[in-house]
Amino acid sequence: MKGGETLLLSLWHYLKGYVIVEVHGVSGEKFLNLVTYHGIDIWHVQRKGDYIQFCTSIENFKAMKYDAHKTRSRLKIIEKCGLPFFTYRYKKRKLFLFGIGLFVMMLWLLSSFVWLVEVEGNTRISSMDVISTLESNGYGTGKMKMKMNLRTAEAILLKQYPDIIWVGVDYEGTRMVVHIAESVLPPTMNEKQVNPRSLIAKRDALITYIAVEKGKPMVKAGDIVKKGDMLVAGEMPKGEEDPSLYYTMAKAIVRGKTIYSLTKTMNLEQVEKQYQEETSKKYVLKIFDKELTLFKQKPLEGTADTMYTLHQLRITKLFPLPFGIEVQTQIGYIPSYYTLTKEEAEDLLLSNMWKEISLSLGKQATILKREAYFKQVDTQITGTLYIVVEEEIGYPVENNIEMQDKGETLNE
Amino acid sequence: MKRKKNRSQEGLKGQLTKLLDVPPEVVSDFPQIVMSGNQEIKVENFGGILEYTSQMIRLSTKCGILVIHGADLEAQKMTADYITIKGTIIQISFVV
Repeated sequence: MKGGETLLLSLWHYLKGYVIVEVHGVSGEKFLNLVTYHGIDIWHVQRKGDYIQFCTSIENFKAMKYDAHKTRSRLKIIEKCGLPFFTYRYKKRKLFLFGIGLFVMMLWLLSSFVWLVEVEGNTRISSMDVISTLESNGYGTGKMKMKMNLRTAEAILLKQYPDIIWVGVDYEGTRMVVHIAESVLPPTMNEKQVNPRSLIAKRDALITYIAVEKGKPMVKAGDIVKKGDMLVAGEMPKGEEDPSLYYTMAKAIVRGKTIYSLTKTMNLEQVEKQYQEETSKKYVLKIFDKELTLFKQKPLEGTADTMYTLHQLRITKLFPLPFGIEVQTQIGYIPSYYTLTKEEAEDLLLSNMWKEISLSLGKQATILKREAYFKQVDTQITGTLYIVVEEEIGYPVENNIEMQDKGETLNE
Repeated sequence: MKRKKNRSQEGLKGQLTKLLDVPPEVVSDFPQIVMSGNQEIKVENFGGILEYTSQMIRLSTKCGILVIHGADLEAQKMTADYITIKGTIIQISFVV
């Protein structure tokens, strides 16, 4: 029944204050005509039995007294509504007014702090890094909005991270939102601009194959190299007549046989947890670093695991509060013990070790040999897996200054 | 005689309105009545209220008495020449 316009109108009426009036008398219509003829605004006119009820403003009520007298009607105020009457009523209740004022002040004060920092639009740069950079420069949670200059914060970020080409820091409620646009990395096609570099061995290996495109080979096939040994130096003689060296980016394929090994232990006696439905919850209010237990259920007897869930409190999405409620749920379980046979344990160990080791292998690794050894001490079983792999072992490093100095003396 | 003169005057006004293509409610004193379904009726340019109950409202206008029948009728807003009536309207008619 009430549209947008009437809502605004009723708000206006509320602010100005109005009265609900009853008109008793024989000639109600005559009274209405006279009132409207005198340009007095009335609304919500209702016929209720032998009298008419309507609303009008305070000044208009005073003005219509003469009309009522003229038409021999009786006016009666049945309700006074609106802000003027409300303030009049609560004029004497000083503490109440003070409370309202305090509430508004608190709301304003609390919302003038930053309670949460969020980073958006980043892919390569981690959000935590950005947040900690801001924090160390005095922009972070718990800081007052007025004391922070966001343009300076943007400048700090731009200076700190060359990868950021544009950054915008803004407040959204009590959140501080950092919008980041990262630069697109230039392709590394132009090798002239790459610093001279050499290839070193990334693992101990037996060299099986070496093909140098650029640079000076330091090893040959069949050599045994240690981790960190120079494989191909990033320097070359200028020509057949001129033996003096110049620095370049070493480029070569160096493959070698290398050994990976991994040792793991396992107990033959295993425990399986059968989780039960009974839980015990504990509610903890977290304010910054402090904890306050709100509500606690009786802790479970026997074996149990605990699960932690944190709920950040917030008023709508825009106003996160600096409080969180942590629910610590204890889930009871019944342990059931069982013993693995030696074969079962070895199988399990082997598959676990294989999974772990294959993650650390290079992309184009060829597995040449795989061997596993097991040893049992009491109920502990220890397995060691060796694999022999042929893979690319060159690892590019930039020529350091020391080397360059050495090169210069060589030149001389 | 007097009535005849009055008629000829109205005729002139009507002719002028037709000639200049002016909307008739601008020139004449007739009420403009706008209804929104059967829930609301707005009457502009009326003379006064003759009867006012929650089942029937009678308004005097230049073209006779406008009678509005309905249920829970209520004047939402009322000024000297403008009235908005809300409620369930059943029938409106003119009594000349």
